Amino acid sequence: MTDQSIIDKIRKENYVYKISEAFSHSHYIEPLSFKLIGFIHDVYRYLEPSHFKGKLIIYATLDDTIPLDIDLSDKLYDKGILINDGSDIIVLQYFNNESQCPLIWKNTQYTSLLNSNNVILYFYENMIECFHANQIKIEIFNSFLSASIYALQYHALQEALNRYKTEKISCSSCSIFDKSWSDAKTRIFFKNKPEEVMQISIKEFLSSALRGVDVVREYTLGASKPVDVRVYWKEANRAALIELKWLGQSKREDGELSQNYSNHRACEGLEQLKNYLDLAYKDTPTCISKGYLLVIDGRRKGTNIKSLSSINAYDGLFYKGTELDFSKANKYFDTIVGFERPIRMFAEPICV
Amino acid sequence: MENLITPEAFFDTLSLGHKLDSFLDGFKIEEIFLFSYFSSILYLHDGKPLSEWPHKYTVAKSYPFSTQLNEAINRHLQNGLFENKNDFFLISGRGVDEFNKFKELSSFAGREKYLNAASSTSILVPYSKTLRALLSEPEIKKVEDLDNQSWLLQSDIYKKFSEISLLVGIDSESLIIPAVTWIDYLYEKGKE
Repeated sequence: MTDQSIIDKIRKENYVYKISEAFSHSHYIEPLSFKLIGFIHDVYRYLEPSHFKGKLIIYATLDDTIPLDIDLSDKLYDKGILINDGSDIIVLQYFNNESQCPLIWKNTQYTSLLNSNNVILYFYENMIECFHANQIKIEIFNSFLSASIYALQYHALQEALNRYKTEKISCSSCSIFDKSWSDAKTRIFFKNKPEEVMQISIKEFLSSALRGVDVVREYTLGASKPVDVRVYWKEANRAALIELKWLGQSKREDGELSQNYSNHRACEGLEQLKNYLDLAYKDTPTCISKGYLLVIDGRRKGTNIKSLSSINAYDGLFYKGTELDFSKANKYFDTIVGFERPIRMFAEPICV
Repeated sequence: MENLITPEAFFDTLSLGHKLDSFLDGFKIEEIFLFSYFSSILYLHDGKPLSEWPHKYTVAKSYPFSTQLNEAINRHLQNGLFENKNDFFLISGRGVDEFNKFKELSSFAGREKYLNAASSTSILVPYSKTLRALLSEPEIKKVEDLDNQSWLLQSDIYKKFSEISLLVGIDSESLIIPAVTWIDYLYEKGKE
């Protein structure tokens, strides 16, 4: 890409510049838009855009006047009221004078704001966000796996899980996870009951990969069996429930084969996760939760022979490209908000 | 005898720690070096002489590194102004109080403009993009490839920085817009 084509792209996509340009680069716009964006970040600590089905409008006026009907508004002292708010339209006014409390309107008419030359306005609906500045619409380009570029907690988790998959699991590069094998020199069989080691591995990884989180193993949600790992963002009122399932053949210390888990085990994981999410909504309704099923896939072909001590590439990598198969009824990730698509992590053997 | 901490190193690390913690919910030590180095580019872009910027940087593990800043960070940790949590650091309540006191001092107030503009990028642009862009900066890459203790020289980079701002057509006195533009530029350039 030439410098000129990069410059053209920046001119087209740099929304901070375009907001300033919309107001002829007036000196007061930059600090105001910066503070407004800070406020948007704050709002998204309480409201998860991917769960919100309505329209969200956050605006400021250049002179702190209030163009909407103040009698229909409330003061927004506690942003906690935004959690799980089901309004079709939420409008928030932020004030440059920070001693003034932001105002909130619900299900009010806001379109007049779009035609005002005194307003800088952020708009979100259905995974699309933009600004309106001095009546000019300014798109926000979002190339991330997130509903908004200002709410990236779950995006950070997804990125971390992708890294965990490629950097730690694929070749068993995580020294903790490596202990889940019966013989780490071949990585054909898991050891008996490898779940605990796997949980510790993912917990340690996420603790060091994510900012501002508490990662807890075996988190009880009132269920008889606790969810494997819970990630909680202390400053953002969000949680992720992670259920971990492994597929493959395990082997006891005496050399006898023990559990053999295949695709069905992942389906059980989906059911379990559904129950955990239901419990989470009931137990902690003021916390936004998403559910993740991680499937560590250590399946190999022909592992019904307990004395098997080496494996060729054909058998060892037989399942590497085999995606999990779920029935329609199990596909909660297609129907339930916050139920994320399962992540399969294939753990390779050492082939001869 | 303990190393003497320069006042600017003391203040800059506290200020950047406060901002990064507030914007990102925690920071890594090397991120303080990175944003301090970025602040120095903004300082030059603002027409100030490099000789007056108090820190010098080498490169360690792909990030800028400054001995003065490192000493100051260690002192903040000793004094409880920074706290360690998992692999990240936080500013403590006392750290915030200290920062709020020091930022009013006239000798530090002028520095805030650069520290603020540099760290603001982390709230305006998704942070993973900011990080990737700043770490792909050509001067950092060059010194890293040399694999020695050469100083990072901001003079060539700042010229490019100013050239890009000019080409985009930024004519405001702002530092935040050029800073975001620079991130965009480095990010696109880094894709090549």
